[in-house]
Amino acid sequence: MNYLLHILIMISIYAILSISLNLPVGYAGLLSLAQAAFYGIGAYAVTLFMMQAGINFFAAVVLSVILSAILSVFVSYPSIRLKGDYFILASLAFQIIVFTILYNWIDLTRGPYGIPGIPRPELFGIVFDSLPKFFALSGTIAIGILLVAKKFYSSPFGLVLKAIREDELSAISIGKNVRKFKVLAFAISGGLAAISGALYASYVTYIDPTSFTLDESIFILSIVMVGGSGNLRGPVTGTLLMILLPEGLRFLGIPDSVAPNLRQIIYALVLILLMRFRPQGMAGEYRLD
Amino acid sequence: MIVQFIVNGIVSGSLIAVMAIGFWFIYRTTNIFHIAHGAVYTASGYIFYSLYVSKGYSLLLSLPASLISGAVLGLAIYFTVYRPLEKKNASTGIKFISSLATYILIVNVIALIYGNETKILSEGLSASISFWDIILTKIQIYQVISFLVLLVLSYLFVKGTKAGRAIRAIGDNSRLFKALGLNERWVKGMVFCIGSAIAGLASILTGLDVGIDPHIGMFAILNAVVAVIIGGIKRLEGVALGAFLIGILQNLVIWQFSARWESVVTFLVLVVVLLYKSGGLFVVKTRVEEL
Repeated sequence: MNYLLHILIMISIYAILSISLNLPVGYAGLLSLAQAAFYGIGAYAVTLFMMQAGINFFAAVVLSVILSAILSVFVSYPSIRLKGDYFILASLAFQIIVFTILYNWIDLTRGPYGIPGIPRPELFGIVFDSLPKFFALSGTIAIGILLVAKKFYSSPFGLVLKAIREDELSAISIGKNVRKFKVLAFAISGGLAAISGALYASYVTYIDPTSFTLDESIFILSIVMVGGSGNLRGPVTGTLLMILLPEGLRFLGIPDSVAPNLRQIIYALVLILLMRFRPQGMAGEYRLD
Repeated sequence: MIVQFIVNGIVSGSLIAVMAIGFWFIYRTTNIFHIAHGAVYTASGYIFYSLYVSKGYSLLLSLPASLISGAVLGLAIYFTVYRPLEKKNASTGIKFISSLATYILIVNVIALIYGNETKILSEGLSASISFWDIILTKIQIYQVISFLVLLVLSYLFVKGTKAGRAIRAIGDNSRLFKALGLNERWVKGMVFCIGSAIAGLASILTGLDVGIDPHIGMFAILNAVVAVIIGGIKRLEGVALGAFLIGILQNLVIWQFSARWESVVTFLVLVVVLLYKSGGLFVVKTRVEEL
């Protein structure tokens, strides 16, 4: 039961992450390798707000979301005009810079030692400290975000993004400020990723920079590419598949020494085959071509 | 002191340049952002380890055998992964993701076979030579010489041979190249062979100094990519200059601050160049008719 709850909590955290990345990838056509950076910024910001400033978890989440969204504007505003490979490269550069800062700014983040003893979320005297309670929290937040995202995609804002994705020139010609919409999409994406980070930090109660590496960014992007983007089914399918797959391997009795490598090999093969035969992913709407 | 760090910068710049020249050949011709080049680098290093250290073959046999294996691997990646995507006219994004996935695939296969720990390629400390107050190890001198030889050969190849002109022609306008009835597939395959063999050379030169582990390829390819972008992809000389700029800059950072901030500075330079001079720093103005 505990095992199942743990998996469900991880699914809710990664579902939020993949929905957040769905916005720039599936709606603005921008592949970003910086999502783990915003995830990490969220995790560290919430932790520091709670532990250094003594702010309640939920207020700290709001502050972290704002912080992460502002930082994401700093990244996206100048780099959004870069095309194709160059944009991916700029986001990769940001990812590496953030990781290096988290790792080396020892005074603030304790660097490689990590921060232990992060308090659990608390609201009106209820502490979300047990697995069922935490899942109730993370599941509610994930489903809430899912519902809002669904509404959002068919809102005027979502439709403009879709229009930009399908035909940028036409969108410009009817007077839409393409850059503004893309930057906003990025800001929302950065904010959502920060929520995931906050949940992760208070769930595991320990963070260190190795959870927010380039590899993690690649993993999050893989979820969206495998599941597909441009709608909600895509990222959700991707999350379920990519989180449950390694658990499946565990039941097959693959020894622990080879399991991590084998898992990566399977992810990579799935990704290569999908890119070749089904570039919109398993359940996505947007084709990256 | 500063002279020593600049000399160190030139040595590491040479290593970055070797890797960057290999990447450049491929990127300039095919426009594929070949991140899996980093995996070819790692794989060649491990093949060299198997032949030279495990089996104890001579350097004269192990070195060419590893470079050829690297070339074959690069060629295999081109024909199994990229070629089908090119036929479908896939976007740069799709090719980038496929390349990244290929990188992950190969690196994890290597880790499964050889384990995750560092393998040493040459036993004992390399002999060092000092003049004035600069100290250089023997392998470092080989690294710089290899770079110089490679640069001259590549330059002569690109400027002076028919195949070299074909490389530039495809990179500038691959449709026109095909329309003229020339064999694009053959040239691209050749470029993957050359570039991948050079990646093998970079890997062995580095490995003989500091050893290899399955994950060094990412570091090597990222440095090379930064050098190529900073230098400007049009010209080979720019790439070499970009590599030296990074190498010297990284060593100055190590000297003034600490090695921990090396990658921040490298990637900040990359971002600044991407945003303000995305054609590269060392681009000579091209005449209109060259465009």
